[in-house]
Amino acid sequence: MALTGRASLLALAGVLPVVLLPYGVTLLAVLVLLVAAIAADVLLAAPVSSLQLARSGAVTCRLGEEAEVRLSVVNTGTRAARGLLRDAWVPSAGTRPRVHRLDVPPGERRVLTTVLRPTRRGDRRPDRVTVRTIGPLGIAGRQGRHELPWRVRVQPPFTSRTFLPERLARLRQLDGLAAARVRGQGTEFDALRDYVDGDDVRSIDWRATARRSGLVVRTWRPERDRRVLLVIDTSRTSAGRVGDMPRLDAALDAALLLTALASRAGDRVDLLAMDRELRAAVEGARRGELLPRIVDAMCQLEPALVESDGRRMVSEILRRARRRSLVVLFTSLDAAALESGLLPVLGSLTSRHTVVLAAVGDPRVEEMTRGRGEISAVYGAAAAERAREERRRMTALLRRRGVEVVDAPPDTFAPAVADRYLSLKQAGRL
Amino acid sequence: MTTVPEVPATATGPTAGSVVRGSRGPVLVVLALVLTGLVVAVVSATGPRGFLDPNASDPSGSHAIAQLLRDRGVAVRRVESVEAVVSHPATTVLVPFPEALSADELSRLTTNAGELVVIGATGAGLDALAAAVTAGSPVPVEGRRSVCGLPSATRAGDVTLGGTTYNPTGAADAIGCYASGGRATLLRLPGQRLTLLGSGDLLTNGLLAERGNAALALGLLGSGRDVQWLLPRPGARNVQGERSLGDLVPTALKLAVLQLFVAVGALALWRARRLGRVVVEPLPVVVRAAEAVEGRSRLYRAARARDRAGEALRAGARDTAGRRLGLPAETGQTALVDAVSTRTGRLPGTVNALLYGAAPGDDAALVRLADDLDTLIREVAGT
Repeated sequence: MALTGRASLLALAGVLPVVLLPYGVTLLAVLVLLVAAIAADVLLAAPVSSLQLARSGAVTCRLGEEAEVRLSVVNTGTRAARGLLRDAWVPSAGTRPRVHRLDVPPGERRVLTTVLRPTRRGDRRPDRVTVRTIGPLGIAGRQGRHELPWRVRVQPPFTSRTFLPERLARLRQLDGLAAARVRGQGTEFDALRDYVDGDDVRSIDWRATARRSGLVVRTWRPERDRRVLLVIDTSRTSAGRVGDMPRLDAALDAALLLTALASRAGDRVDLLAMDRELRAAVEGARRGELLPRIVDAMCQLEPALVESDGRRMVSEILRRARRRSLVVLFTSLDAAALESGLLPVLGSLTSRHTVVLAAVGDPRVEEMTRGRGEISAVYGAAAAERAREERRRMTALLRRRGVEVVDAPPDTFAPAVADRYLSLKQAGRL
Repeated sequence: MTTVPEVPATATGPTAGSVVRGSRGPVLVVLALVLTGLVVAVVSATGPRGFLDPNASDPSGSHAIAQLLRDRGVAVRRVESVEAVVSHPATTVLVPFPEALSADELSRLTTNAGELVVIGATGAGLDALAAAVTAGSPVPVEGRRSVCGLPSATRAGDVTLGGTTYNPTGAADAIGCYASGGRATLLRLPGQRLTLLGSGDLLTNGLLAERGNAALALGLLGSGRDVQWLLPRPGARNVQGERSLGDLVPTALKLAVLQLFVAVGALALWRARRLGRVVVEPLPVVVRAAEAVEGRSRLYRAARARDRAGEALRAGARDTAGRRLGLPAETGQTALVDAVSTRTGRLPGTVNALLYGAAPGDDAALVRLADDLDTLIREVAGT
């Protein structure tokens, strides 16, 4: 049961007869009338259970974009269902409107559209659908609920996809589609073809030329079918917010760009996300379904407030990547975390694979190093210099151990990782 | 945005039946509680209680003496206001709490034809009773001997008495009994048919059986055909001509206010009913990554760690200068100082003091050091 504002107004109007006929009986009569009217309205309101609700609409949505979920309401009762309907979702689903007006004549069907604008990655689910039907007098009604489970999977925004065309152009250049096909490092034999003016004379294949009448050159193309293993660290260091998003989200964005690029370059991409536990893994996906599967696996990733387990991470990597691979570790350059986690076990990784450690730098720390004039700003600058010094030390240490380090602020992080991949590919180090 | 076809769903909330079924347990529990309370109340009921109340059976009540009087054919009537007191020569009016009556009411009692027994009257009360008596300081209630000419006191012998003491100032026929240091705790003024008692303890159930208490009580109260026990109801005192606030407010307004309460109640019910429950959601923990660095800077400041702060700034400047000059990271002190002084034209000594000097002595020196290092780096960069 539920009252409306009109019930209160009606009770207020009851003051008039009570004042005009100031007897206790009048008060009692007004009260009885009020209760009777409310009871009648509740009884005459359409029963909520006679409504048939069904959901349809979006099941996936990219973060920052809108999705529509529709709710069809069929009135199977004999009375018109007028009132309010609230399709409740978790707050981060960003639903609009909060409350729908409901007016379904008997036997008819109406569709209510709820627009979601999620503010977080992951699965957004609705709570109950609460319906309040109001009686013909409009002073009271019934309230009931329906349970309609649904799920909208909110995917990472992949904002770095704007960088993709430029990187693909560079890849084509590498591929020799746009420039002269020359033999170089990181290339493999592609085909033989007739010599045309401008070809490098060094690429002439004399053995093939001897069998033919004309000059024949060898062409080369970059290595293909290399393996790239993306390892995303979801431990406590990934929770730190840099700019307006956590490190983890910057890492996911860069991983998506790298996935798109590497799959276009003909390499196989696998994904691993872990802290102490394995959080997500994508293995052996075919080219067409690779990006959707990786996106899907990323949806549910959240930073966990635990220290990463370097030993476990390395053993997982070694178990999965039997062939030589490019292992891209998305983690942080936090000295304490690295020294206790990854550094002691890094040797077994670098001996078998090419390892890139990609860490999101903090522009706030850079900004702090420029603090001058005030004593607190100078202390801030000193602390920031100290942090930078530590990062430099870690970077130098990792480079000595044969690890490529990418350290970039969030806005250039994804392209920086992609560029490092391209340069490694060019150098034939995959 | 991908879409899938509609799926049928049938799910509903509670029905009237399920609400009744669901609330059966709590309702039963409440009923059981109420029943238990009632049973306990009935079993442990002891009737009225009250000091010197003729209906009270507890040790401080006075049911026993009332019963004794009734056994002797003297009716005991509990009277709740002075207006209800019946004036008759063969009646006794007992006033256990004279302070509960106004002076007006007390003086009206003196006009009654019968006997008047007042317990513990003092100053203003004595004046109102028109008794030529002064009240003295109270004495403990204990066993006292009757050394006086009052027949009922003589018959009773020792009694438990004390409280206010009285000293007659006018009437020569006043009889004082159970004196303490020459001041009576029982004073009889035969002319006014008035008896003043220092305390009423001897009339309580608890003490009635001791000494000659019962005999004295019967002697004092049992002389007439009935006893009117004046126990004014608390708050019942109603001064003539005065009207309470409730009488002054018109009935219409009172009823209107009640109806307004109903309206406000309806308003509260309307606003209080939520359209569905509050939806909660676990949120991930997100900390600003620079928090640790900022914390370290505050620690530096709190500890006045100018040496460490200065060294950190110098290390940063050395690294920047080395990179600008294209020197390898592990360049030694002398080589770096030489390279910088060659580039900037500064003396090697000053460059050395700036990049490797002593820790700044105070905060101002640290601020200056930061600025000087900036200037040096700008010179190295050639801007």
